Amino acid sequence: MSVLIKASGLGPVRLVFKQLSASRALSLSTKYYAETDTSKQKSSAEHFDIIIGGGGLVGTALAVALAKNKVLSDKRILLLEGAPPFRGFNVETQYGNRVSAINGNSVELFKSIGAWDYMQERRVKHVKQMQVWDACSDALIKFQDEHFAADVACIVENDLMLDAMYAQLADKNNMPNVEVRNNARIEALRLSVDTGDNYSQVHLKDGKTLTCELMIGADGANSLVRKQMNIDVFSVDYERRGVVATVQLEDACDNAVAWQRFLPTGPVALLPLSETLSSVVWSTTIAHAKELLDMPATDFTKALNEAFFKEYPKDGVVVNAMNTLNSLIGRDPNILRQYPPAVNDVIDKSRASFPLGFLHASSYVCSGAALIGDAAHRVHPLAGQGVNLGFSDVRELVKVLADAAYAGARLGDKHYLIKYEQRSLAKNVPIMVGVHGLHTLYSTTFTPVVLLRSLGLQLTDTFSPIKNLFMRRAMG
Amino acid sequence: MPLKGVQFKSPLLWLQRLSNKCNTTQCRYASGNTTYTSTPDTHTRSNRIASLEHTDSTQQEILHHAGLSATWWDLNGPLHGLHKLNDLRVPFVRDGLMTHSDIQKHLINTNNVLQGKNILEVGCGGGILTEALARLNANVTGVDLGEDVINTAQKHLDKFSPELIERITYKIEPIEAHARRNSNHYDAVVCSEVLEHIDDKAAFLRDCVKALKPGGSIFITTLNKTVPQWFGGIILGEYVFGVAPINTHHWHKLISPENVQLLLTALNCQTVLLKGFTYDVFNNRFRWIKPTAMCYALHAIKNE
Ligand SMILES: Cc1cc2nc3c(=O)[nH]c(=O)nc-3n(C[C@H](O)[C@H](O)[C@H](O)COP(=O)(O)OP(=O)(O)OC[C@H]3O[C@@H](n4cnc5c(N)ncnc54)[C@H](O)[C@@H]3O)c2cc1C
Repeated sequence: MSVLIKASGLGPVRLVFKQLSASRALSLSTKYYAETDTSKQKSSAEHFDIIIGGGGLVGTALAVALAKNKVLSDKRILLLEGAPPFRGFNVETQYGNRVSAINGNSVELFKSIGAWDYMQERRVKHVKQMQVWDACSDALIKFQDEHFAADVACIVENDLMLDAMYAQLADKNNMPNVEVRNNARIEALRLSVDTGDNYSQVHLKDGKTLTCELMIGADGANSLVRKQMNIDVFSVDYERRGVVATVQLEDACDNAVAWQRFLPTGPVALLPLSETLSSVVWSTTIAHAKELLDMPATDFTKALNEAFFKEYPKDGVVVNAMNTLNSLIGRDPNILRQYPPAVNDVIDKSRASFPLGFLHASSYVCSGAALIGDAAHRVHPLAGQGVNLGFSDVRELVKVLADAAYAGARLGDKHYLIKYEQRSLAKNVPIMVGVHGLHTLYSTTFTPVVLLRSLGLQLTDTFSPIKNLFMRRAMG
Repeated sequence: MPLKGVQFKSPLLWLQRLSNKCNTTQCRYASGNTTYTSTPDTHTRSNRIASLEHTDSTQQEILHHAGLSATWWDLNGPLHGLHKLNDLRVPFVRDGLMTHSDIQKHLINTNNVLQGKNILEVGCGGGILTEALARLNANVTGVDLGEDVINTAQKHLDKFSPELIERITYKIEPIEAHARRNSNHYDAVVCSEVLEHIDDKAAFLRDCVKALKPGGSIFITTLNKTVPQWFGGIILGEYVFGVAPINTHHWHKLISPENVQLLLTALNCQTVLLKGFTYDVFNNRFRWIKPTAMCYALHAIKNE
């Protein structure tokens, strides 16, 4: 069922409610279980305590974090990834185009699983300041540690994060209880809530069947595990794509600022990678995204520089209000304004685009199964929070599972899994609502909205308590 | 005492009612006033009926309880409170044994923390606590009077937790008989949510302590005999949840922590920890609280 909601000035937002009907689940079950006796199935199938479906950033982080936990060290863990084995990471080669801004909480997670030093030794860019501004009004906000001592975020390539985690997994002395299988696509699932036993059955594409006590869905936004758990989702298709690219800066600089400008079509961000390179995440309309991918490199750099420097027509009302506000709070907008470095080239073949959407599962758990990462929640990349929320899930889930095991409970015990859900919801929902709200707020040129958001942004920047609150939330 | 004889409902019980209309009582073990006509043997995993004759009240509690057998392991069923109580009582026993018995360092913070410990659970019912303790690698003997509940416990163990079979022994046996044959034997005796159903508490505790090694630990969780507990039960039970008075807990059967301590001191046991807990309706779980006015957990050590 799709619902179209038209709000004045906000453009069409398509809300999609999905629910896997019971009949679908039934048909799956009959297909796979018609002639098999479940108890026989278990004895012939290989059994694990925990199976993680999906070896993206979040699923892999969970595998390592579980293996590092002392209480859980006697549990057998299997990570299933549909894709071929990870190609590895080479610091000699060009920067990858998929990078993430990770916050302090995520860094803590990497430290606790022993992967942070590995990443630091290769290439991690420490961001000391973040500047966000509005193309329609020049309202601006800056985030930084008071003396630039702490990072506001770290920019790390997704492949390096995976590589650092795989390096941990490869060390068999370190984690003998985890196994990774690639090319292992989960084709069907029968969860313990449906079988009435206390293990779930996992059917792989190659015909193998595995069983486990706890099934984790880390299989991304189209999660099969989530569908099998029969969980409703609330989702919004933004009808935007995120264009990513690695770009060359005109002049080398210390490049420690992350820049983001809200354009009427969506935010464009320039994340530092090195003194001469930055990574672009540009959210824009589907048609414009295609143009950006197809145009010659010189046109792309021109378009990008324009996106950051072009003066957009400003509404007189907003400009006046902003001037008044600035004089009231006693700041001279011209002194504060910094400009991002100009870009002079885009690295060959580094351009790609990804669909953007909002998704939230109505529940993250059921008896014997839990969701983490994008399988449970997906946000707009404008605040760079997606994978950070997933890593926060990992920390909460490992804590709860260790508590459960240390209290003699089963890993699939719903009372414990619900604690994970409650803690994660408390952390995720405010951020998700905030990011979704920002996206909505900034996808318009409608004067009253521009006025309010500009005043809001400028005021927030001035009043440190509110700003600190934002920073703490986003930086973890 | 003006309140004597008033029918009593505990938070645990009205919560049970909330999810199940079941009109039976929660009763796990009854002792005292029990006459044994023959001594049951100690064969492990015995499903046969111990030929016992109990007083009417004890017999009634056993029968009442049989009605719950089928729902014992239903997490959302009438006994969901007992499942949730594991949250508190397993760590209570675990940490109590960690501080007051010799547990090897390398076992701490592992899933095998109770390895090698012999624990007697008196009034084990369907085995909710029994299995949890065994999952921490303890050897647990669960005794109960009801044939149905022990059957339920054994069936659940065989079907759902076969990995624990080696470490769990269920017996239909009165504590008195069990203690006679196993005196000074166990590292710990656990009676959780049982004492409130016992008529002769002195005799019951005497038998529990008898089964305990010198230096061993007895862990008790039960409901306090206080007005707030009674009042909360009635008000919430009748007004909030609209259930009729249930013949579950009898005021005169409840016991205060002070009286338990007095009885234990007389049995040469020293109380080392007393903690209050209650059901947190907002979060749907049990929670430790400072006052012991609602429910309490008590840990005592048998002097050497
Ligand atoms: C353009 C863009 C920029 C972003 N920038 C940032 C940022 O700066 N900071 C940030 O925090 N977040 C960012 N995000 C979000 C972040 O990338 C995601 O939140 C994160 O990658 C989600 O990780 P995941 O492991 O949960 O899911 P995924 O990465 O989707 O991984 C799911 C995995 O499961 C596997 N899988 C799926 N189905 C099956 C199956 N049936 N059987 C076996 N395996 C299966 C897939 O192959 C995949 O490897 C950005 C996202 C986009 C699109």
